[in-house]
Amino acid sequence: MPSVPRVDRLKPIYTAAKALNFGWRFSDFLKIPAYNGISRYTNQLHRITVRFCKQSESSVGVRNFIENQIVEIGRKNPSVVIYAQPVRNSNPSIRAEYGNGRTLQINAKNMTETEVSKDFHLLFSRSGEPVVKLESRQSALCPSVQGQWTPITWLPTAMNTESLPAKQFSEHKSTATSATEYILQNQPK
Amino acid sequence: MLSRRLLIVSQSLLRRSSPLVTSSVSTSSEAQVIDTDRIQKEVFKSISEEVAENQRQRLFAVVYVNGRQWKVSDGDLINLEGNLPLNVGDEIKLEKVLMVGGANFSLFGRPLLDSNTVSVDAVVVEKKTTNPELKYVHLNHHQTKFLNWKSDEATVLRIKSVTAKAVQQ
Amino acid sequence: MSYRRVASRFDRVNQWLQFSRQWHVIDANQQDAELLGDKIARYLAGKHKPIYHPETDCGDHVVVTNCKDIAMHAFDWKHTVYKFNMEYPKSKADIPAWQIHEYDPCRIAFLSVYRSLGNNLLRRRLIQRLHLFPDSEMPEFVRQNVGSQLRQVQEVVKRADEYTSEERARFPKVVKFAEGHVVDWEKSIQNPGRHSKPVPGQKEK
Repeated sequence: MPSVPRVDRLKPIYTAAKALNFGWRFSDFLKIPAYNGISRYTNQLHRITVRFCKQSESSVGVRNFIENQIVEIGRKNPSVVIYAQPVRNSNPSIRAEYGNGRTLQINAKNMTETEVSKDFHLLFSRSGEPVVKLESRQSALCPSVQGQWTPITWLPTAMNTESLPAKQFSEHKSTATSATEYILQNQPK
Repeated sequence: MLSRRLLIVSQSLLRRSSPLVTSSVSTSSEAQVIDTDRIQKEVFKSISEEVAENQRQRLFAVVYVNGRQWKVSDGDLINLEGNLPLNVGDEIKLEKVLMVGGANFSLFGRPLLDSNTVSVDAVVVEKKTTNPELKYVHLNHHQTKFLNWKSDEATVLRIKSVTAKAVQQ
Repeated sequence: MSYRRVASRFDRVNQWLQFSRQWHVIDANQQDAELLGDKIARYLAGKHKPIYHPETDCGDHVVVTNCKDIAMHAFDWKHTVYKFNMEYPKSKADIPAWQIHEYDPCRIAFLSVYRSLGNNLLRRRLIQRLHLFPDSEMPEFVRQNVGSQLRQVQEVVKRADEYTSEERARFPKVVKFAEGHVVDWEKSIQNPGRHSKPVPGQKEK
């Protein structure tokens, strides 16, 4: 490692900048890309590629999945392109590409058919936004319909004209009846 | 505000009749709405005008979904915990509406509003896993490490519309 | 999805209003010290606001008047003991509430509010927004700042000797007193004093 890093090499800078956007976003608000679902819903998954080896033991589950289920899933989702890519002597993986340009990859080494199917469906239902800690479990387009709270929102308007402190604003209010009041209301004979 | 129109007769009138009670500070009062029919009609009429379609008012509603109350409006995203029996792209109608409101009115159910009158439509836009919460314990010189990885599933809904029909009198 | 709402000039000014400090005034006359402390601590920390967040500095100022007339339940003036310990030799002191109240009429209100704020680092800053006055008088700049009044936590009851004789006669009789019964507000009863054991052989005076 040189003491002064070279900045004229574009590739490491570019690579680092790509990672910055992803690596430092620890928490975010709830987001869905492309105004999806406001008027109609479109699936954000565009392409999904299953890489596997035809021979090795570690991709048995993926091979079974391709044999039994993948055609049916493809028929149900005509908007998604599904590739099955045999690569010799490789670890099997599932790679999904989304409408917002992000790619997700799951290593499917030694997975059973059920596990592969579960992950496959998870990638189908994702929107492509990274999984981060949520600041809030809800996000809204409009901050408030009836107006945001201010200190004077629920302040009695009668306090504006009186000089404080005044006795009528100080009295304690309760629905309970005191003993004195009870006797006055139900007088003993 | 609509609530200001309600006239409430408290016990202050009754209290004035007996000279004894005027000396003590009365804290209890029994409220009683008078002229109910006329006021009810007025309120129904003004709310019906507010929610009419040509007004294009933005409404909000409080709905009960998945064990929690949510204040939602058009275009909101809500993150429901767990893997719910819904597929991505499914449209559902949230039927437990506790309250609906606009810029000038608020309508509360006791506890629920009629689901035919108020409709909150939503669509499932994403089903995902939540960010893992890690609890990592490492004890020096004890050959002890714990990694507790907690991650749950979540279902994200987009509220498509909050609409209300005119109230029948 | 990036839906960014443009903050208008009204929004900006509205935000100044939202986070502005309010000045509340509350009358401590005949109010229970603990209940009053809980209520004031709530307003000092800003917990009464819908925008409350523990990391937001949204506490308000509270002015307390008539601190000398603060009340305590039953025999608590005697049995509530405030413990002071500076952890130096001879610096430990356990003082009952009535002694503290005699020394400084505002100190009981201060202590109860300080305790109600909870044991945290924030309370030293929050307690600085508490303004205590022994009677109903306050400086003019404080009075001008006050913009809202808080309701008391208890009803202020009328003392028995504050009723006029007509009012007392008109009040329905619940109990029949015996002949020659003296009510303490009509005639004060002499303190019989401490019983002294007669010394044998000494003449009685």
